[in-house]
Amino acid sequence: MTCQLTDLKNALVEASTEVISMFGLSCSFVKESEEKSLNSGEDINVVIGLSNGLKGNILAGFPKSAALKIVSGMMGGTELSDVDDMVKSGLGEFTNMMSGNAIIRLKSDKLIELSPPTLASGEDMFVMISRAPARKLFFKLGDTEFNIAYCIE
Amino acid sequence: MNKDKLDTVMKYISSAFESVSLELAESEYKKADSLSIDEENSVAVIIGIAGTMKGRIILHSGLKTAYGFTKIMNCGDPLDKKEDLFLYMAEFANMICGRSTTYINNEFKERKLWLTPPAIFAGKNLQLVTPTVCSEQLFFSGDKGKFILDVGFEEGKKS
Repeated sequence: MTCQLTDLKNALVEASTEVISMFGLSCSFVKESEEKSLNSGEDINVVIGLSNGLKGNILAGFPKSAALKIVSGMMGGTELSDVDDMVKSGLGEFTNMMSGNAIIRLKSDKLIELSPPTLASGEDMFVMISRAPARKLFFKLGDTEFNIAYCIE
Repeated sequence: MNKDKLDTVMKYISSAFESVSLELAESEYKKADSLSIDEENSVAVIIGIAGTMKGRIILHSGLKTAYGFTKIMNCGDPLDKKEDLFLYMAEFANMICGRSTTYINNEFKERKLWLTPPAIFAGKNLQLVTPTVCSEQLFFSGDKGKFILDVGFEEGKKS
């Protein structure tokens, strides 16, 4: 399990950096921390479940500024001001690309299945992706930031 | 997924909800044509589906409803901490999805559906969107409150 966690951490860091760079942006990995199982959520949260070869969840959390910056990059620099359906769809796609890229990097013998990305937003959000403490990776994206929490059962 | 298969899947998910809620809370839930969660604060459990059908199921209810239901699951005792509400709701959703999967696998004579672990969200004015799926909702009303099951599958996948 420790090996899988380290592998997944490295894969997520590399995948995030690579996928972000496809959109003409750059992000840097800041730190990893162990979180409680129950955490407060970001403005927009995207969850993707893992099953079959690896069971767990990946949760990407974006403040509004990071969400707009990433989707603007995906759309070739189009200026965006609101988190509308198109931005939500873009964030879902970004998280899907990043998770898929990370899973390929794991080079698992057994097929790892991904569920479709689901976005959750609201006020005073609380999130739990596992009964066990999750690990969270923090990334800096220009003048804003985003994070990716993950857990494996 | 063709309409007949989808109808069969929805029938089994509905049946799983009714039987699990009866076992856990001795509460008989009836399907409703439509309803809304009228509490400002709500809880949603998301369980992904992978394999031959790719999608997700969301169990959504008001926070007060969830608290009342989980208290019954806890043999009537108040929950010790906030995490317990999340864990009990996750277990409720997991049981519904697990049982649905068994019914569906048995019906279609295959073991090719996988469930992801539950992810739980709670908050005010909670909005949940899965851009890549077409979803249908199942509404349930009973003496312990209202629940919505939002069931969505990706289009164009083999099934």
